[in-house]
Amino acid sequence: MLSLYLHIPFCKRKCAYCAFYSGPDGDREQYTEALCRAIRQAGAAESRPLSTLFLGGGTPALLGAENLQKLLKTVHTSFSLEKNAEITVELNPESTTPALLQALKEAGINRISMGVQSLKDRELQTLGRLHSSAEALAALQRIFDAGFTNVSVDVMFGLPGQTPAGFEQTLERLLSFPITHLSAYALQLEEGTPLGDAAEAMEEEQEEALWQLLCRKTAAAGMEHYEISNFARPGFESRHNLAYWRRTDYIGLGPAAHSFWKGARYAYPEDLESFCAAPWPLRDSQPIGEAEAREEQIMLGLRTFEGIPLSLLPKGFDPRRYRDFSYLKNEHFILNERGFYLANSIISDILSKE
Amino acid sequence: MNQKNIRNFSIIAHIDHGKSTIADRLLELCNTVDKREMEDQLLDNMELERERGITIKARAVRLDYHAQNGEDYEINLIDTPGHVDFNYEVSRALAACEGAVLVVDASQGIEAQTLANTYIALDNDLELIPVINKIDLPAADPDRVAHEIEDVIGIPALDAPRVSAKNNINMQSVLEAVVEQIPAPTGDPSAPLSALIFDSYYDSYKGVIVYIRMMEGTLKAGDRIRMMATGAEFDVVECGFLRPLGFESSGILQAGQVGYLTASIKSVEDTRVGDTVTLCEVPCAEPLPGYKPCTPMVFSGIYPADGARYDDLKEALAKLKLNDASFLFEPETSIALGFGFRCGFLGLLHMEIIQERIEREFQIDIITTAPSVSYKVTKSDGTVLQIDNPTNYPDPGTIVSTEEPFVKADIITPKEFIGNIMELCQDRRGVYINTSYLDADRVTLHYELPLGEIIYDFFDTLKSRTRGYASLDYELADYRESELIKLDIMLNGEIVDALSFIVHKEKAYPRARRMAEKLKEHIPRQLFEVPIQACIGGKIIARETVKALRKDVLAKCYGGDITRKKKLLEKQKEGKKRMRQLGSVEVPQEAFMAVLKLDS
Repeated sequence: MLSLYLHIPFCKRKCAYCAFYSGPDGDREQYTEALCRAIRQAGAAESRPLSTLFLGGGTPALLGAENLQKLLKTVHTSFSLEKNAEITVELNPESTTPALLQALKEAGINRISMGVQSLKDRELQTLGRLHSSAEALAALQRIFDAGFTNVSVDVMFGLPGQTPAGFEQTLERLLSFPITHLSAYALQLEEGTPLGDAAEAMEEEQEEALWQLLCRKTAAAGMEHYEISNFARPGFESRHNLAYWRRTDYIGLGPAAHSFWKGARYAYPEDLESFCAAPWPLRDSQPIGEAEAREEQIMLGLRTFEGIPLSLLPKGFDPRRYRDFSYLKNEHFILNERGFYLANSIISDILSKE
Repeated sequence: MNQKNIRNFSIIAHIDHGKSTIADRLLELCNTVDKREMEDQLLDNMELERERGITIKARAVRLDYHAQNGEDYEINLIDTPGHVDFNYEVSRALAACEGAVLVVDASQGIEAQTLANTYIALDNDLELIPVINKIDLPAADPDRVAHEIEDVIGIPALDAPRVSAKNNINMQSVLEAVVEQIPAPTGDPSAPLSALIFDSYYDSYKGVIVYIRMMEGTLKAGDRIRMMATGAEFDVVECGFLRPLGFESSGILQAGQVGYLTASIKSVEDTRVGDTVTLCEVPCAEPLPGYKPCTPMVFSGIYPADGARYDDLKEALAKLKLNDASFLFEPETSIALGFGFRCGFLGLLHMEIIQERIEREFQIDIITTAPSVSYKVTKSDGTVLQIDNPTNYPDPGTIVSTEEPFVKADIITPKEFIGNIMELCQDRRGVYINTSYLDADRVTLHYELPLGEIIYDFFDTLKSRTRGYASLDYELADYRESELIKLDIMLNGEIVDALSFIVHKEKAYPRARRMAEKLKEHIPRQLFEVPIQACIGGKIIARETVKALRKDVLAKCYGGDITRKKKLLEKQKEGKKRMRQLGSVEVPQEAFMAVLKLDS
């Protein structure tokens, strides 16, 4: 099983909470060239077919339809793809023009992930998003109108001033569309971001109430909570996303992109120039030994509804003490929703008992 | 050397009145030490001593001085520790001298410690030479201080040498005074040997090096000697003089001299300070007066932070013990802390020094339980127990009476702080005896205080309430009946034995509250709520709760980058590995230490 991630580090403007590597600067054509070169190098080093492909950012749409098509074409010529490969592109409401959607469809994109974040204009402003709630809803409609059926949206909770009623409305309106997948992230105030430096973290009781609301609403809509931050209708779990947690191989291309490939982890440097100069496979690799692999399996597996085999639990760890936060199924130790919300504590409990 | 040209003396000074600097200057004046080899505070050769600016154990050195009268003198300077914990060591060091130089700071005047040691010197009939130091400081008032010395101690001081050791002003006058005023030792070199042990330490090549003052008789290499208190016998390998940078073997020591001996002695247990060395063949009739076996006053448990280092800790304690007969330890077990040791110390400073040396010299992280004194408990069946570990405290139903040690305390303070100090002593269950005036501005307050209160941050509180001006000295007085109880701390309903302590009934409630609050402050929130309860018998007198953790998750994972999660979890994991599992509750090592350290 092999996945490919292409990072498009361009944004019209950085959102107020974003600590990721992206920005408005850089030559689109040159970058497309560099990325195509990396794709060819990666393809040359691989014989396995791709199960998933993900174009994320940044804002992939800022490359323009032509460059995106060029990227996809290069992927197709450099790799073989599984028949039902999951091919996702990340979009923002402001860039979902009918023309672009049409072009993406033609290029073989079969899954859209759109960053909505909120349907409250005041919250969108706080986040520094470039779209209004009305624009987000219209964009969502255009995506379905263009014939996409596998559609995911991102929302955020724990936003300054966010109320349970407001969050409930956001969720209800989004779930009234036939979306197959929802990613929900708690706002993380990162130092050095405008929001991180200005805003105060939400009271934990309030944020917990939003989390519980999220879990209730998605369950009522028939979605499964298959990973801490991800919900999907059965069968529509993001296979690309799961690859990260299942520790199957993925190649990430682009500045700051990470890979897990043939037993080692790789990361590109965080700037455009260094990326363009560094051929795949990267020279700096971090091989993962047996003990570390086991730890990764525990910390990543417990983020999902698949959990980890009981055999991975160290002797000193008694799962019965964690009854309130977990359940056992098919010889697996799996966190429930309370457990998800305290995952770090439980995972570090397990790791400390090794 | 002719006996009449020998002088043996000590320096008595308050902790920062410049004793070590004076010693350094005297050594320089006698060219005993090459300038190149001169290191500040030469006498204090333990790293810890230099850092704290105090002398932990007595040291001695021989100076050869050519006096203004044209004669050559052998002058032995015996250094003394300057802290109340080591009063007995001080008394033995002073017993080895005929005189003492009393150093008083020209701006600060006499302090409690100086006074206490001065009385020990007077008890030993020592000739006192007052020296007024730091005369070059702007606040110096040597005339006032000279009068104070005359008024308080009753010795002439108006002609006392006025010096600055730091800037080497008038230092020669100190040596001249020593030669002129301190009597030469007496003692018959042909009499049966009696030599006073005033210090000893273990050297891995020579075995124990014993510091002695020859009172009577003659000692030669090859002699068979006996320690009169312990009865141990040895053959002298080497004896001679003490030099700043080592030993000068002379093969013979005679009455009146100060020096060292080695005899392949394996432990300082056999060379107790205060004991008398004599010859097996021709023993002296009686040992020298004043020997006291040491009695620890403060006790605490010492545990390795990492249980796997128990054996290392044991070895470290044994090594420290080699050099310190006043330090006691025996194995003990705690449910909370595992295997460790119950240790006895002369006092709080002694305890801190031992703890620090374990961590510093042996690099072992340790957890220490709250210090305790030794209580006397009389049970209904008539047995009397000496309890220095709360774990051994008997069932209250079987107790008839309890007693705790009291000390006589002298506190010297500028009179503006009298109110503050009286309040503090009152609060610490002190019994006021009286006040005596040192001069128009300073007084000595005489109190009787429970030792258990003194070891509970008394000294720090005293300092902070008097802006550092007050000084304290105390000595054990007696045991007094007292209403004591044992206070237990429960985490999640289970008693944590290492946190129990014995306390006076009146103090139980505030102490319990403070303990519970501190625990709450230091126990991190965990998956489950943690009730903290303080109780006496079954009765709960204080309660706090550490609320359960609500959220601990990292949501976002950009493009398969798991490094941040890994780092965070790695940190959490390492933190948890250092946790102590107390019943069902995990308490970080640091928190445990913070809670046990009552004065922070």
